Amino acid sequence: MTTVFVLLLALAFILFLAALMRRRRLESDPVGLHRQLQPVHLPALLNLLNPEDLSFLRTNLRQSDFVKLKRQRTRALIEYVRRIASNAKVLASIGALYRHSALPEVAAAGQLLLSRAFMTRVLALRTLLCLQIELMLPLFDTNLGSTIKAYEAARGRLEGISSASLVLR
Amino acid sequence: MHPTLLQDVLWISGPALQLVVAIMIIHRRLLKQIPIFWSYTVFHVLLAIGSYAASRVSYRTYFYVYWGAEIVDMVLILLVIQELFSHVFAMCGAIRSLGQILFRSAALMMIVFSVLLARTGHSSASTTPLVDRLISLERSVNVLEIGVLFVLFLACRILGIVWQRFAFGIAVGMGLTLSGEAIAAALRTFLGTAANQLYVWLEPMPCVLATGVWAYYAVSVDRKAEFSSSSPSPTQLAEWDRALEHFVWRS
Repeated sequence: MTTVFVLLLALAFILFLAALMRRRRLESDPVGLHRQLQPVHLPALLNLLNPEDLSFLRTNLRQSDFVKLKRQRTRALIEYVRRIASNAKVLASIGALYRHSALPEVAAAGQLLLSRAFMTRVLALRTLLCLQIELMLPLFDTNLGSTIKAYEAARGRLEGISSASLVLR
Repeated sequence: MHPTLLQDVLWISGPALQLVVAIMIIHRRLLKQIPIFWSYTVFHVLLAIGSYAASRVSYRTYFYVYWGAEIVDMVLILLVIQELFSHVFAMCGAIRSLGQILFRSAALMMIVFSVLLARTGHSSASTTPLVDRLISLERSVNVLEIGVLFVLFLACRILGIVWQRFAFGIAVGMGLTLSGEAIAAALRTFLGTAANQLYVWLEPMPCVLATGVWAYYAVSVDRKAEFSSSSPSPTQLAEWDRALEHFVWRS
């Protein structure tokens, strides 16, 4: 029994390594990375987060209706944050590709993008966890402010790479 | 080809490739970044010479050199994995310490798991109980190290940490070695002495394969420098800008 377990574990790990190598090849292709970016409509997300709307609904709706509505809102937020987390990962890969550029401006912009995107990813994952809790306990409130700010900063770094490359042209 | 000749080729190719890896690490000035992995590589080269010399003396000498080295090897692999954790998380500034915490937690969990595995797993009736115990120990340690390495890969995947090329190669090669050795040790434990011949064949193969992976990454690490030294073409940059602007505007 133990032998079968160890054999399966080792074989599964080899398959896992093969999948990782395949994925890494895909991640080193900038065109493929761009295709992975998903649109995130930040104004709509900020609108969804409006605290006044939420307090208005809280006072004017029955508790059960409010809970139902808040769950729907949390599901929508989860989708947004999931996209932010996914984009942050892609941005980190893009930053990593340009981090080693011989052109100092592009390399610096790539490094900044990488670190910003990484922090955004960590914040987004933390927010996702809080939102999952909020989905179970609708009266719990998650603060998305830091995640959105970090995402905007990472996005700003993308512009940094753009402008660095424009200067070099 | 006569089996012993193929075994000789297997036996020589591993250390020869490892020598290449060790030289390339010095040549590419990577020694400061991965000193433990370099020590591990050099240890294997020296071990090959030591094992050969011991095999000329007596079987008993060879036996003690082999199993003594296996124990040192198990410790070194764990240290290499720890080095990979430090190396990968060093790039993450704010959560740098998370790497060490994660490594220690994963190692602790896997030690408990491996002890349980060693207690439940028993080999078939054998005339060499010491060898069985040593192989059983090797199998448990392999499972432990596979588990810790898996945690590293998983953490990178979840957190979106981008691996550096050579570090990724080291980790993949290490994973291949551990998996192959675990398969060999599991079969040997299960089948007993009947699998001795199979074990002799299976045991060095993953090591040679992994060394091939390391040699490839060590040699091709220069390609990254090539990529760095050549700036992206203007067309590529324009395409990039368009894509980035498109993304910025869509967001």
